[in-house]
Amino acid sequence: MSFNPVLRVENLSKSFQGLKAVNNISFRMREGEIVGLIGPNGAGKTTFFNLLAGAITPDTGKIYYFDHEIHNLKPHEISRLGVGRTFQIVKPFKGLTTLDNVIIGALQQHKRLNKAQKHARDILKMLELDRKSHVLAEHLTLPERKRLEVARALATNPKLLLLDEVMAGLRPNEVEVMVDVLLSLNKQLGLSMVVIEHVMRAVMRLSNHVIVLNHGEKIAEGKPETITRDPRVIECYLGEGAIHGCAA
Amino acid sequence: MNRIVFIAIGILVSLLAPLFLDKYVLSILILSLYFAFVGQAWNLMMGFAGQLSLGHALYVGLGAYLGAGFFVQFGLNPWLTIIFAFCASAVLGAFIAWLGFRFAIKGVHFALLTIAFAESARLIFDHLDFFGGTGGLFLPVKGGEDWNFLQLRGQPLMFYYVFLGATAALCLFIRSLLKTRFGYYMMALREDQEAAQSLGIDLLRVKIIAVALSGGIASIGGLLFAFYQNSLFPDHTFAMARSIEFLMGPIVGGVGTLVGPIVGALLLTPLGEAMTALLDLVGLDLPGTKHLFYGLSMLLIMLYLPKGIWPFFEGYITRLFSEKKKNNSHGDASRGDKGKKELAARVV
Amino acid sequence: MTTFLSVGLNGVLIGLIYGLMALGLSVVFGVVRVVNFAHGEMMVLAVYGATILNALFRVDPILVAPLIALFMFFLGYGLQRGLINRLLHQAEHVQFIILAAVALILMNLQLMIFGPDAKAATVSYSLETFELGTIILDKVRVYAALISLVVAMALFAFFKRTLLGKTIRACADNLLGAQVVGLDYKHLYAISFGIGSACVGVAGALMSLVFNVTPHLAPELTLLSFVIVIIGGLGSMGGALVAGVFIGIVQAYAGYFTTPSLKSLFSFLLLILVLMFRPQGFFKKAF
Repeated sequence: MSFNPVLRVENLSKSFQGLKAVNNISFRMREGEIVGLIGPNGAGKTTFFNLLAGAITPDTGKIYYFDHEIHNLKPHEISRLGVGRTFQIVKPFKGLTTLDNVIIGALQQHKRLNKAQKHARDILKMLELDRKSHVLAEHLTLPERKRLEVARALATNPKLLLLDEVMAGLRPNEVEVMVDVLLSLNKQLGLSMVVIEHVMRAVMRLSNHVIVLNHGEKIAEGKPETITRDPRVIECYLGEGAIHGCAA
Repeated sequence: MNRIVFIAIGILVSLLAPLFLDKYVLSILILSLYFAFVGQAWNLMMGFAGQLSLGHALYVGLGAYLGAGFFVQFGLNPWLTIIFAFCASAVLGAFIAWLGFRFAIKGVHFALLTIAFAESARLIFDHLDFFGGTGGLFLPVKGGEDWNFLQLRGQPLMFYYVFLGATAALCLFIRSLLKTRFGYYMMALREDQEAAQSLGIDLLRVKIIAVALSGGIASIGGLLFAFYQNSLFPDHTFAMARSIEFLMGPIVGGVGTLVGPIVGALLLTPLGEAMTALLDLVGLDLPGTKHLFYGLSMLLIMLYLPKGIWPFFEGYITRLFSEKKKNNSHGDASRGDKGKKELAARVV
Repeated sequence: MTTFLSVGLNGVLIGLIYGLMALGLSVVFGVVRVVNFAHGEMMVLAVYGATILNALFRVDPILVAPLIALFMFFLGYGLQRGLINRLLHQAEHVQFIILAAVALILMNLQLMIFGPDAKAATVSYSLETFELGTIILDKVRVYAALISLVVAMALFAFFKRTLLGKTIRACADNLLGAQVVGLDYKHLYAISFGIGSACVGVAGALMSLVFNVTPHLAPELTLLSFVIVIIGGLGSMGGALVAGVFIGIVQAYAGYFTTPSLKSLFSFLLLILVLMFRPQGFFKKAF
């Protein structure tokens, strides 16, 4: 594993009509790491993601993906550099089949349709969606759509994957399956990931490193076990005084 | 297998039937094919790039006037002008799409933009003497049964085959286009723009190409029709009513599908003409009946079958074919076959 | 010099009528947020109503205007209640196409019933003029302009002072809030459309005195109304009136320096520029 930082964020800030959604966030991430991004609702996690993915531009600060400055790039340019993303509320191409959905992702790297199709099939197999290749995306179940979202982003051969609450709405056993898939992708492909999650079990299993956001600021950072015991973190989830109420 | 037979019969009928039809019916068929052709071009922009154009008469009229004008003034062969008209309209379309993107002109504003361009063209051409102005532009018609394909001068029957060929070629072109990288990107754009972007698709580029193609192809239709009609008037050619006529077929037949615009045009045009003919029989001369019917059809379809007629019936038809297949083949209809059917249905 | 001024003043007069016409659209768009592509057709309907009554009974369109306004009010109310209310939650392009279809239907109904020939209303003072020094103004235009102004003022007062007016504004401002408070938005929307249509009714009756109108003019009127509303700023009623006058002046001078038939071209080109550089218009939301 190289020490090359796949992602370097420096003093990133973004305000919306006077409200600081993301306030002076900095961090680095090494290649092959899985970083968990947690925090209460409204903490700025998705805004942060949107900044990384190029959907919005920051007011101040910089984002580096390997050696590239990406904070001013458009989403499709960032994707072409190797950053894939999923959406909090899944966005499958409903009128197209599962296979076609992933083919569209694959076409980024494989300009010829037959090569793209082969690549797409391989990815679908990896995510156990190959049986549903010819089913229209709108007929897939939610867990299947989530896997499709990941498959599609994966088809673009990213080096960094941004996963926005990919566990939301999944049942416990489905969560385990998804975590297994992500861990194996990380192991097999050396894929770096930033994972926004509320499902703590997934965060604990997946992350090498956890960042906690609240009110747009980074309030804590460290290993999963330490973070969950950090009083500041507990406070931001359960409120002031919760520390006194529960055994640390 | 049945599908091939069906298609073969269709081809034979469309090739031979007009030899037995009277002039009036032939003219309706030609008109229907013309609307099918331009409607398919419009469909490329709306159904795939998701841009609503309420001013497609701009491109159609431009093609018509360039072709006819250069023929009358310079004697220039229309097949040469077609290339020029296509490029000019494509560039114009690309410009309008770029304007929309660059200045974030969306929704109603974009629709108004397209109307403004078409209406401006109408007023401008009203004052261009080179193209005949308000008085109109007329192509010389030599009476007789000419079949001068190379100069696009000839009897209606020739134009029937011209439009039949053009529409068939266009459908085949779009069908293959949808199987290319660009075609997939267009469909992604239609389905979900944000997701498409996240997969590396340059929205602007896809939109511009789609609109350019749409405009260019529409202008080809306009040019061909101009040589059939032999007379052009800006107030007629660039009128808003024309723009609405062009989108009728796809709207009623099914936007975003390959077959929809054809079905829509082939359904509405004959019915509209039939209505006028019926009233004629009864002795009533009510100009506007046709368009009234068109308007009502669009209204009803948008209210009750917003996806269009074809997607609605498609289900029945594909089931019909897979039923027959099930009966003919041994064993179960494998996933492969059903899959192919679904894939084909998606493209169609 | 006097011709120059004359042209400009005539532009202002016509502009006030345009302003009233656009005001109708502004009310509808500001409240219901629906793009009425049939606006021009409704205008033509009002014009024809006045022309026909004028031809049959020799009555001054100005006198018939209230009657036409009332008729248009009910037409608008019915249209909103019967059709448009059902479209409120549909995809945008569905709304547009349905309204374009309505426009097509209306235009061709008019063609069928009234025929394609241009018509105008004639009154005893049709050819009389006012003379301000060396400037000559048609009496019909002056009267039409004054009435447009009065009606517009009355409309402003209605929305600012009356309870119904305020309720409608509340609905426009915050639909959810209005519903929570118990307002029947369907009825209020329909009333707004009715009011907008009534404006068009008056504007149409007045226009019959000034222009020759045919059903084929409708799309141009629709587009012109949109030009005015967009320049004025969607939702700003005062803006619509001012922009109307502005467009009236632009068209007058455009017609003067080039040819009358190219008048509208400049307005359309102006629309393209405004859509690019200032789509929100020039006046703040005064609604």
